[in-house]
Amino acid sequence: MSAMDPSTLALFWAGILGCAILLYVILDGFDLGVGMLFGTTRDEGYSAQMMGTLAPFWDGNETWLVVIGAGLFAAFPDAYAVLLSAFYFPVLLMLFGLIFRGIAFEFRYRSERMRPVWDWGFFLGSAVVAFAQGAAVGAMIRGIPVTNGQYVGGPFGWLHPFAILTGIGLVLGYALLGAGWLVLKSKGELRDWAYRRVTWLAVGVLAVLFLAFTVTFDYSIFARSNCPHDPGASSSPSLACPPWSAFWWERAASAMECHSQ
Amino acid sequence: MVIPFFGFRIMVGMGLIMLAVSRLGCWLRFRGRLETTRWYLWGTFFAFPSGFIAVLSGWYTAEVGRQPWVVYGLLRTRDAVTPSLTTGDVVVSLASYVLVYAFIYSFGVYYIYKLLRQGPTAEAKAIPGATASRPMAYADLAETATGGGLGSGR
Repeated sequence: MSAMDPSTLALFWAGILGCAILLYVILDGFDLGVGMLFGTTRDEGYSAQMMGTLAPFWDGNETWLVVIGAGLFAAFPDAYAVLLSAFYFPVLLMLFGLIFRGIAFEFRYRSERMRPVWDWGFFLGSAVVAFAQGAAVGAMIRGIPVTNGQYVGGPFGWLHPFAILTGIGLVLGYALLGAGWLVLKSKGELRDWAYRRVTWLAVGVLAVLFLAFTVTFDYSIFARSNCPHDPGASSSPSLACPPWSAFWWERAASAMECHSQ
Repeated sequence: MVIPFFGFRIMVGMGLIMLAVSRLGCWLRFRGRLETTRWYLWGTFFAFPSGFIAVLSGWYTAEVGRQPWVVYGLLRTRDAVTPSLTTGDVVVSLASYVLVYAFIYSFGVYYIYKLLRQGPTAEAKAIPGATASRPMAYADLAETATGGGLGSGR
């Protein structure tokens, strides 16, 4: 891994993937977030309205995940191989989460008896997807063991308190986006209900961000990082801006770059 | 070579059956006999799994037919095995896929069956809540399709 400059083509693709990740995080973020908020109410009126705000959009939002996966596979196959090997079980759980939350849109209106099952699937599925994505980012920041371009860490090499912290951070961040979406799209009681949750979720997100940055200022966490030549990236000014998504994309982009070198 | 040979032909055959059903339906409709031709209506009923069968046999054709290559002429399947994965990992993940799919598809087939049993219950009208993400809504009453809850008598 020499310190050569990435090619224009690599930068171009990193840019495209960065945009796709940003769009994915913002768009699927709000609908995963609504999915998690869905689990915190027992009011059928609220539940039906929440589903109604998502039904026309959710599958379009998730298509960005396909763009990210296919783009990474085509442009940065080495990073793709390492990523999917390292996060084999989190990605598996994420897919199951996406399956169960996807079918809930249709199945919960098919049967009154089975409805609680599909509703739990919608809630837990959304939470699992958010957590897996957040934990993967945390594990990448911390560094995953790679030798000769192959992942060598075992199926749970990603599991670490820092990854769990970022997982919780993304759960809270997506729930915040979801609450914002409900405030934007609903009226009356549900809007007030969502509005009351914005403050607490924002406090939670900021608390996790603060904790994550405090921990990463201790550079020892980068001892096993994949980008030892650039330990300061996580504290650069561009990352001080609040949206979690900016954090996501920069880390992902720099992780891809160092793998492609 | 037996599986790709028949897989491909079954897939194409299903496509031809679907074409025949739709063309025949158009012709019967043109003659004004679409709703009274019993043998044709039974035919459409039995043709309903043709799409699923075509998709599955097409996958078998592709996945079996490309062996021993993952990328034809470039990468062999045995060279494409993920080094960090153990057999146990693969067994666990495959078994969970099978379980999840069996669970989801059993209920999917059951709900499709329920819709078929129920038959058309109301005059066809525009369904505002129906989107590509809720395809079954088209087969349902407008009131329940919009997410207003379950209709009566269910």
